[in-house]
Amino acid sequence: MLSFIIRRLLLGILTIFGVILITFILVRVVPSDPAAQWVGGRATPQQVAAAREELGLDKPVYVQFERYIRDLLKGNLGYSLMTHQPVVEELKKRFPATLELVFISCIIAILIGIPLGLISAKDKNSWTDHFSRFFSIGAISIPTFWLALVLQLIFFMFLGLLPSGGQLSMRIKLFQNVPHITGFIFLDSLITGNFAILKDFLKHLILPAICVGAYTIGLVARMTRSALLEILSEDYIKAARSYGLPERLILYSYALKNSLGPTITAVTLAMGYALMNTFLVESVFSWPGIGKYIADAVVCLDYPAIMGVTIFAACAYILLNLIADIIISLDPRVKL
Amino acid sequence: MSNYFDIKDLKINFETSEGIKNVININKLNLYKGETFGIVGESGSGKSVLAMSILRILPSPPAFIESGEIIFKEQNLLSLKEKEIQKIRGKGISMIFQDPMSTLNPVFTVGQQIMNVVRHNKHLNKKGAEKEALRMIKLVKLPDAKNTLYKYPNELSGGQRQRIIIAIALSCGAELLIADEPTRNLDVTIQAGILKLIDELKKELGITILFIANNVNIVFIVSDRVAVLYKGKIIEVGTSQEIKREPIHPYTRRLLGITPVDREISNLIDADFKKEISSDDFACSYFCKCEKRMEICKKNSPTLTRISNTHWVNCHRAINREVDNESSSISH
Amino acid sequence: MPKKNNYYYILIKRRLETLKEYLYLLKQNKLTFAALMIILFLIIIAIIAPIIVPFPSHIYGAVNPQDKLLSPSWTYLFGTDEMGRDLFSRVLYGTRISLLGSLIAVTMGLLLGVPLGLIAGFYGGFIDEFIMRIVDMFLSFPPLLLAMAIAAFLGPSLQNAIIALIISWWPWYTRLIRGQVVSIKEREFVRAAHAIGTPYWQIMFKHILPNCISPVIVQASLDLGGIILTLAALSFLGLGAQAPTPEWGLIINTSRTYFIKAWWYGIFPGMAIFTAVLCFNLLGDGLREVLDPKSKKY
Repeated sequence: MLSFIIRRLLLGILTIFGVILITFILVRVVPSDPAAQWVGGRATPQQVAAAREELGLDKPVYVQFERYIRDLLKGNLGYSLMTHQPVVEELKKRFPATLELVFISCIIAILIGIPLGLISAKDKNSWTDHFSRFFSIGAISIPTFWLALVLQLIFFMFLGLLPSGGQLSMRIKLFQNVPHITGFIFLDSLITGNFAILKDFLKHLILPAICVGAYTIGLVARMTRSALLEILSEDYIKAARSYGLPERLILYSYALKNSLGPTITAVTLAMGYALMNTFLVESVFSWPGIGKYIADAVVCLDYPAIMGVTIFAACAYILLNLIADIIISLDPRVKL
Repeated sequence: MSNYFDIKDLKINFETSEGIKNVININKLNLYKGETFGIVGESGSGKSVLAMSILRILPSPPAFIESGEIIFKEQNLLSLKEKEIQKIRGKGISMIFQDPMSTLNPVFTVGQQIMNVVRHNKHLNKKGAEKEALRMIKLVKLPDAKNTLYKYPNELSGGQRQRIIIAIALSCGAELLIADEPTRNLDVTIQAGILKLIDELKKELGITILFIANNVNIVFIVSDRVAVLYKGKIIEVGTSQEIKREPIHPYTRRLLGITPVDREISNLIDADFKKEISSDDFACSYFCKCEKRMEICKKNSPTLTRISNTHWVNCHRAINREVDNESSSISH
Repeated sequence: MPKKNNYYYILIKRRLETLKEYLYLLKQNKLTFAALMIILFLIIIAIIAPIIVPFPSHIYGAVNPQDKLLSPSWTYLFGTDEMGRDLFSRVLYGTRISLLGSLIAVTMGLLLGVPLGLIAGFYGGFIDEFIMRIVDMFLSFPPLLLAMAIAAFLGPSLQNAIIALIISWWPWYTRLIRGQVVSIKEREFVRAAHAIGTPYWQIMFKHILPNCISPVIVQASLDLGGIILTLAALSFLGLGAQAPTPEWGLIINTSRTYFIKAWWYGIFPGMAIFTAVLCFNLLGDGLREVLDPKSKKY
């Protein structure tokens, strides 16, 4: 067991190295000159040259690569061209907001998606099956950013029920002392028992969470359904029926336990997609997370920021997959 | 005639992309309490469909039971509601399958699998279930019962798994055991062990066995009476001595290796294979492969002819008792 | 030689029969069939778009300031944008861009990914390890992220976005095919072909490939929809098509600025995306049901 974890960790590190390599190559491809970008449009040639030297762009490629890796190991992702702050700081500041959004969306996805897939597989070809299949396919076909705009339109502009963006309303931010214990507004307001803030936060959270969660609900429902269908057609289910075990027991005890592996895979994939959806949705809702950060970075071509978020998101995804693999390996069928 | 287990006029159809195909068409099949009844047939003859239809575990699209009755202890199994047939599964009638690996759930230990069934069917608590599980494992003559409880299916050998399956099937006091090709996926020596076990358990527990296989030798050794199934119809039925001694139907004779495969027969087999003629066009479903076919076989369905009290054949030839002069005993 | 003609004739007839059978099965699933019809309809629109749009000049350039930001009417079915351009014409023409772009990306992805997967699975050993390590590297990025980064660094444009998508997508096909090849490789007919001395490339393309192509076909048709979505997402972020190209995602992005004054602006391109992607997904799902090896015995 331990050797498996170590092997998997090493593989993960190798993959991260590959990611770094790819990102480094990407940076080299840039048509415009980062040095000129750094000093701005009105710089003199001397200033550009000085910037180039400072950024180390005059050295040969392998030296740059070495410097790049050393910087990464030190935790230095460069300076954001937009804000001139270290990228790492910007990420640290904004990540909790995105994490909250992704996390809550995934919980919604699991709570709705898995039962949906279950019902679908159980009553194959019934009305409920057709409905939930159509719903799941619809959920993964809808463009997330468009859904965001539509929801904003309906709930903010026409119905006036929900706010158009941000995490908390102006009123709360100005007049209340927002606690800052964990950095997660949801947890902090729960801990301090400040339900006014919690309610306000939830009001702001609903629409972004639905947008990010829509795709994942469809994804999880579909994958759960196909995994369960396959399991339900296996011989041991047929045998269990022949022993007189009731359908309910077979479904919830036998079939579910066998579907744990594919379900975890599905949820992991869903979290990856959820993260990507935040990139599209945060700017629409002015949600102060890394999604908005990278959306802004892309517009002004802030390459260090784009690079930083890419490496960060990729590493997070790799870590997620690693955890999922380890959990799946607990399955007694897997001979390590 | 027995009233223990009767199949009457059973017709089962399958919905396929080429239309509705009739898979089982059995007029009459009786089981006596305490006997071993063998059903032998080639792949595609409908053996598994028949077996699964008894316990009503046929997947309902695409299979449909069009008509008929299966009477077990004076109850028509086909007319029972789902809850009622669940009471019979495992407790009145039980089934063992062909592939021991796929019949066991890979993520539960074998002990848990026995206990699950016992707990539900006999309403025992955890401790009682564990004791029962141990008793069953010992009953199927597996060594080191205590440790076997905690093993996963992939940690056992094929023969051991099949014994566990038998243990599960018999754990709740079933009187009728349907064995659907239980030794097909096992090595020959292991096969012998399992067959011996089934025989011993039959004597110990007094159960009736419906033994289904495509291996002719095994079926005749194990069974008291045998029925030959071809394309969903029973074409010959009798005690195993009778059929071994005097097989009437040309298919049975070919099955038992009595008819040598000469040029005429191999031409027939080729023609059937190339589907130059289709068996659906003729009244007797064996027409295309039959070397003894006659004009009457084209249009008239063969009728059940009595050879003796226990021996019945479904063939036009039987009416005239036209048996070849070749030796009619198996030279094994 | 008459005999040879006979052989090819029969072969073609049988292929047509199989096709008819598949179409029949496909027709049975009404939803899938409807989706297929809608897709064909969209393809036709894409092809004849330049001819049927009511305001051809509005597609790219002409500015029509007096008609700007009008709500939907009989002249301007979807309304107009901030430059007075007819949104209906633009969205209609956008079909062309999205469908064509998606087709190019998927085709190139297949052309790159499938042969690599065949080679990796077939030869095994070091080549396999090498190719699959690269594939793993690419696949370790969450979907969309790699495409974003590549498009950002190559410079935002429609062509670069498509290139970015090709680079992000080919590894999926390689992994899919390689898995299939590895299991098919061991089968008897491959060994038989090998024993007769069939050249390797022939074994790969004529024997192995036809047997593992069906999951790829399913995936490709699902991807046609997925790439339309991703392309639109890239354009929405500013990484794909640039103004004045009437790409659906870009139009939605532009609509954000006029969200309050002209709320209908972004609705229609989004519906177009949704319809197209939905139909491709339904088609892919239907294909999966039809092409699935129907060897499940009861």
